[in-house]
Amino acid sequence: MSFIEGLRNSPLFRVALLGALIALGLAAWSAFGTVGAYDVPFGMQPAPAPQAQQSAEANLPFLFAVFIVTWAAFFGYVLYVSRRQREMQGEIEALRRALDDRERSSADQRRETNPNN
Amino acid sequence: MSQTDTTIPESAQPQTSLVSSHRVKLLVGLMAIVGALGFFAFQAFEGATVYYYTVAEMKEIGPTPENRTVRVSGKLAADSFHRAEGSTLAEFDLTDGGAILAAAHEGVLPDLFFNDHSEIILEGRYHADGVFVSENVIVKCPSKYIAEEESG
Amino acid sequence: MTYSTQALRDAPPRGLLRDALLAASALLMALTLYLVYFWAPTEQNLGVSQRIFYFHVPLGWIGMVSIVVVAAASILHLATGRQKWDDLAYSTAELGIVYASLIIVTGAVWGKPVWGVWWTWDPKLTTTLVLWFIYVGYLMMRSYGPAGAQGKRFAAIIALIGAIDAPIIYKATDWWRTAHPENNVPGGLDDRILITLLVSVLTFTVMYVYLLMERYSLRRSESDLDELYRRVA
Repeated sequence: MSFIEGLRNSPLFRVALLGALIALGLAAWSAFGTVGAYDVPFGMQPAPAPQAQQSAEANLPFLFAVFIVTWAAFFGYVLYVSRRQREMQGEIEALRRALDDRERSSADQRRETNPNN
Repeated sequence: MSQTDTTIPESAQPQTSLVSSHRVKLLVGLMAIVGALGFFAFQAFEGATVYYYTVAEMKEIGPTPENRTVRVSGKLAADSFHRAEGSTLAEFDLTDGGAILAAAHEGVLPDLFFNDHSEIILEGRYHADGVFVSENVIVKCPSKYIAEEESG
Repeated sequence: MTYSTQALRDAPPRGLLRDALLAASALLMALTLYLVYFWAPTEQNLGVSQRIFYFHVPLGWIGMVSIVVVAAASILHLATGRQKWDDLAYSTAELGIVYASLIIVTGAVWGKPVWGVWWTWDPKLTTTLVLWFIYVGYLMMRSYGPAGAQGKRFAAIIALIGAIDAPIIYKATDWWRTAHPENNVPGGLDDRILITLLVSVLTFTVMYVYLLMERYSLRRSESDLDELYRRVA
């Protein structure tokens, strides 16, 4: 939760997120806007107009940019989660050893007070 | 941390009641899934045990009964496409190289419909007047992916 | 006498392999994106929309492989009784359902402009949807089913059905008439398209292995915690 709170409080992050969403929306709109049939409800052109194909290709760099940003954010977050999980593993190990110690020492104590066992 | 008892999470506790809320959720969920699978099987095999008929098979089978939908697959016969000015109704012929099937479709057609390499799947009914009226058109994409020629 | 827990807190487990796989995934993904959007040619008949292919195919492969892993791990667990196989099965199922969902979504998004419909009940799509439901069924059985070996046995059966479904999905275009294109790897692909696809498959596989390792490790921690709770109670 601290990570999210930290991010929420950063205005730079909010601006970046907003910008990324806008870019994503624009890229999707321009990429899908030039795809065939559903632009024209009635009276179809028989073949995809050449300029439609070319403008779709011209938008590929935008798509690339959006995907790079999205995946970078994804991997960054995964890295963060991985670190946290690693720490937690360490703490669990510590707990287990502490428990082992405690059980061993209480078993020792019982043996000391009951030598006939 | 002065408390001496630790709360054991529910997942680690043994299931004591036979009709626990877990069990109910499971049953409901499983029934939903089995129901969904049964529905899919019904949908998938309704009307035909094959996904589509060829043009020759469709002509042999003849008109489709009411309330049933079938699919037929073929290629667009050359020069057979006809759409009246301003109309949404398209008429064309489907062929498998031998037999020819007259067809009609109301509404939008995907771009690839007009591509030479495309196999067209029509979903609809074969009427007694010899026209296959399709409600849905699926254009099967060619399986070979070829780079387009670099122009210029 | 008192064990130094602080020492362990300062030095958590290293996990170098995991870090390496994460880095590899990120780099490979960047390479794949470059290839897909700049290097791969536009397909002659399908146009720009064909580029979804480079994501759609790897997602499908992994979704199919994943359920087989779930089934194998479940059987290993039932045979050997080792908890780690069960942890692997559950983790793989969780990841698998993500991939299964994504292949359906990418397929629908591709189908709409090209086929004209979001969905059709052809054998390939139907069997894939069945696989999705098998993942759901498995996870539900694990979460809400009878505790202990009984529930795991039921879940293993569900996974086995999925393992049978997976090759059926693959062969569906060969065995039956479908709207889905036939299998075209590697035969029906131009050079650049094939290479881009292979890089993408590698990327998604590495990413899958990495995510699986992380999820598995987390699952092991969950099992460890359960054990500790029981010892303390």
